[in-house]
Amino acid sequence: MNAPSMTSEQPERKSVSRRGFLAGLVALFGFLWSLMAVYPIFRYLYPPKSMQAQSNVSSVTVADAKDIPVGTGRNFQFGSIPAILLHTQDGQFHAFNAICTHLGCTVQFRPDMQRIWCACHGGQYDPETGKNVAGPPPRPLAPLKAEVVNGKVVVSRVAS
Amino acid sequence: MMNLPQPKRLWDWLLERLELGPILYFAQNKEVPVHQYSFWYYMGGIILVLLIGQVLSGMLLMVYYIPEIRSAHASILALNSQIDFGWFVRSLHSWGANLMVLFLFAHLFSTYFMKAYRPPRELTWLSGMLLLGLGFGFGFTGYLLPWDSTSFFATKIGLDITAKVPLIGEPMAYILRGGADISQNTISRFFTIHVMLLPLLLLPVLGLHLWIIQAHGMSEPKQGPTAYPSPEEKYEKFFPTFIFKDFMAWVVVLGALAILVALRPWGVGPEADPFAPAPIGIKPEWYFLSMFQFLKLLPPKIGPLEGELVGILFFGLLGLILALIPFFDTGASESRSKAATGFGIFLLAGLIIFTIWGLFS
Amino acid sequence: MNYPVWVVPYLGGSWVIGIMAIIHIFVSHFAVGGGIFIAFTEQLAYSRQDDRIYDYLKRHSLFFLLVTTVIGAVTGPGIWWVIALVSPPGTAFLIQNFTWFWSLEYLAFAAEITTFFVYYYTWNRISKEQHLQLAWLYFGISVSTLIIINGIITFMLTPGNWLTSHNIFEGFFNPTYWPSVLLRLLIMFGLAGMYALITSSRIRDDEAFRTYMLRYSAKWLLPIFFLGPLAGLWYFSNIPQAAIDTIFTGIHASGVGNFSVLARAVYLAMILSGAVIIFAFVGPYLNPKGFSFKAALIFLFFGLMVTGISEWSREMLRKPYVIYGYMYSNGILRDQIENINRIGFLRASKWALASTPTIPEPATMPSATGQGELIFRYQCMSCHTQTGYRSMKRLLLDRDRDAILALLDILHETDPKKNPYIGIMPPLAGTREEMSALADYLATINHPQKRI
Repeated sequence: MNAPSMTSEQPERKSVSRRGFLAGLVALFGFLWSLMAVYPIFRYLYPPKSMQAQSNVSSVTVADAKDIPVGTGRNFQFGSIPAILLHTQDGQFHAFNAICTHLGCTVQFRPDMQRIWCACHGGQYDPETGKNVAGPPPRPLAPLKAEVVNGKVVVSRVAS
Repeated sequence: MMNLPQPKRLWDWLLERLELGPILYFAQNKEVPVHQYSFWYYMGGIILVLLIGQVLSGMLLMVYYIPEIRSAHASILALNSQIDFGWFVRSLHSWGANLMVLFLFAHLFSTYFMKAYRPPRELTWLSGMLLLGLGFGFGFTGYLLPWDSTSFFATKIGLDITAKVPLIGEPMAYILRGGADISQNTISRFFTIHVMLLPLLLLPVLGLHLWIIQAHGMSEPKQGPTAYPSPEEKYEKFFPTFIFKDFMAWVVVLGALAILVALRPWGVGPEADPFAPAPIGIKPEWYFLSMFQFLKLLPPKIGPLEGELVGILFFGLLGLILALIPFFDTGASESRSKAATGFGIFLLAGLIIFTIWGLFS
Repeated sequence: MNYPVWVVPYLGGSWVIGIMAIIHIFVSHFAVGGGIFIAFTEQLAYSRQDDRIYDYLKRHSLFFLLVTTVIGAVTGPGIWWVIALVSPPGTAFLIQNFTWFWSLEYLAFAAEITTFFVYYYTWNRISKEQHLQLAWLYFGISVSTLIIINGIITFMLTPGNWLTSHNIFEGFFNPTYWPSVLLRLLIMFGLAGMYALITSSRIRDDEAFRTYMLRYSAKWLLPIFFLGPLAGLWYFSNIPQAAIDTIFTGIHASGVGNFSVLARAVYLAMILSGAVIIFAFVGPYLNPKGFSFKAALIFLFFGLMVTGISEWSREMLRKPYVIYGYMYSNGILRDQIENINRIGFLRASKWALASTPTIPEPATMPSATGQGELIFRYQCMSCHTQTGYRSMKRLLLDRDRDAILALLDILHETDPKKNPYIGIMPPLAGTREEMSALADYLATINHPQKRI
């Protein structure tokens, strides 16, 4: 015999709370499925290691020693880090990380002052030691190792 | 409706503040005619969903694409071989573009043969033709960006043809190219056009197109004295019946896109070399193939004019007739209606025949 | 190498198996999932005493009968026949090791088909209670056909401890056995729903009942909606690491030669599964009035395509083996490679030996393209064709004979550092003279141009 009317709108025996629970469950799992669509976009936006600048550079040949006279300095790129090379009055080469310890600007060498100087707020560093000698910088510049190899100046990381 | 107190209150709040009443009333009463050609009503919505896909995939591509002459090709290579799912996003964009053009043609010809251009829908038709032109603009400018040899030569040929248009052709091509030769200027200009100018133009034209369609309702092929055999007048509600059918169609089309992308990812040819000669047998993408093939057949000179120029003017004439058809076939005359249908068949047949011919030659 | 070889030009023998097997999957999953559907639905009809559901079921079971017993019965033994022709060593191995399981499976098939014929032809002839019992009997038998064959199929990918213990029960209940049972059951519920939507969409005259049956059928996609990703995760965490690596390589690389087709196929199967579920939601569930017979057909086609792509990617996971870690796709056993390299492939192969005109001593063996062709047929043709699917012509590109030989030398290596194809192709086995003969033969396929 025919059963009582089979309307599709309201399932007879389910209470509102059970219906709500099921709807919530469906929404939750729907969200989990949508993560499957979002995951590739997330991975896509994460650049691969190969695209990042070489941050694990260990040494850089900057220039011929004869091209950097005494009492001058030169900025160069050490991997992804801006760096500075100095040929000081004592005849030695020194190199430092050129990121100012005050607010991160790139420092430069001032031959007239014979000091490493920061244009942003006037901070000054000693070219032989990198020590912060004047202005707002709170700390010395991080040192790099500079040596002359076969007439060329090679800068490398300081052995830690 | 279900007893869900909170969302309902929020909905009412928004309703009151955004004055959505009239829009809701319109949406609840919108109806779609049901007849044997109702299937073609899905075409527009499919194009819209593919367009959204193009915008999203295009935006993602812009994160890694570099519009600089030495880096463009390399950035595409990086997308294809280094970036996770880079091949997926790129192929979505390339295949999405092709599918969109396919459905643009389907939409064009289905609305044409159903005579949906007749008054009062002339503006719908004209804005649609404009959208078609914008679509081709997107395709043409986007195609150059990977800077491989195919795209370089395709652009060169396209711009050379543009230059042949009398009076305005040369200056237009010069401005587009950013000089006498295709160079960095061209990449920068095409990129700007593709990513900013065309989208900005698209928005108001598309808005107009969609607005007028809502205003007039769906065209039925039975309007006018020369209508198709009129079926029993049946309508279905847009919400929820038709729109969920729309959703089903979109799922199928997007699924087809996913299949194309996963099984035939889009590669990239060797980097463009402006000094190398064009590869033998070079052909444009399928949607330009018919025009390309037709132009190949023309003799170098027709009367006093260059053969190619005649060809281009001929295409222009066809386009003009197509655009102005609503003013010719207004539904008042049986003979004009037949002529319009004949012209449509002529155009469609020509496109198909020349495309197939181009594919096999 | 110890059996005659069947040459299928252009399509390749592997696709003959593929087409036969994929069609069978379409139908067998309907047979099992649909059997569960019929049992549950008849239970529903019985408990509600609703004749409308009974009428629907009768029509649905005719559809079921025709599809499963005709196409299913043809393609099932069809697989049997085709795998024996295309891959005799693999088939022989499976028969010899799983003899009792195969016989049990045949018994189950016979019982399954008989039961369903009885079920269909006793409609309205026996009591409702008895008929319901028949439905449940069919359910039990058809599920047993699944759980038996599943052991053999999953063994091929993850033989597990069998590799060392040679204990057939450890081979049967291998690491992917249980995840695969779960995954297949979920797929079967979904397919059952999709087939039922075809018959439900054709209910006429009673709009409310049609809506009810459409929604009921659509809900059969809920199990895979809830448990699909978990089951998939469970499955993938038990497959060989090399297969996982291949998949992840394919996530960032694409194109020919990057072996990325596995990653793309797996990803496509996932996307299309999501699409199927969305389609079920916006189609029959939310909008039964608008869900026509045509839409149901498109939906079924879509769902079957997803199933086919999933099966194809599952098969690809097993590369380069037909029995993982034991037997390569071309029938050569992994442990035989060393011996073959020593004494030569043609000498090591019983059948190939019998079919070559002469096998002279290695020192005087001429570089006959005939011998090269034999080696191609036995070692390469299980996955490649000359000019058709995954063809030599396309893959060898412009290489001339010497460049081909250089490639073959790479393929000969078993060290993954020297041979990047090792994760996806069996190592090429044989003596250098045989490699040379093979290079001669392959060079005739891609007709290399003379380089200036």
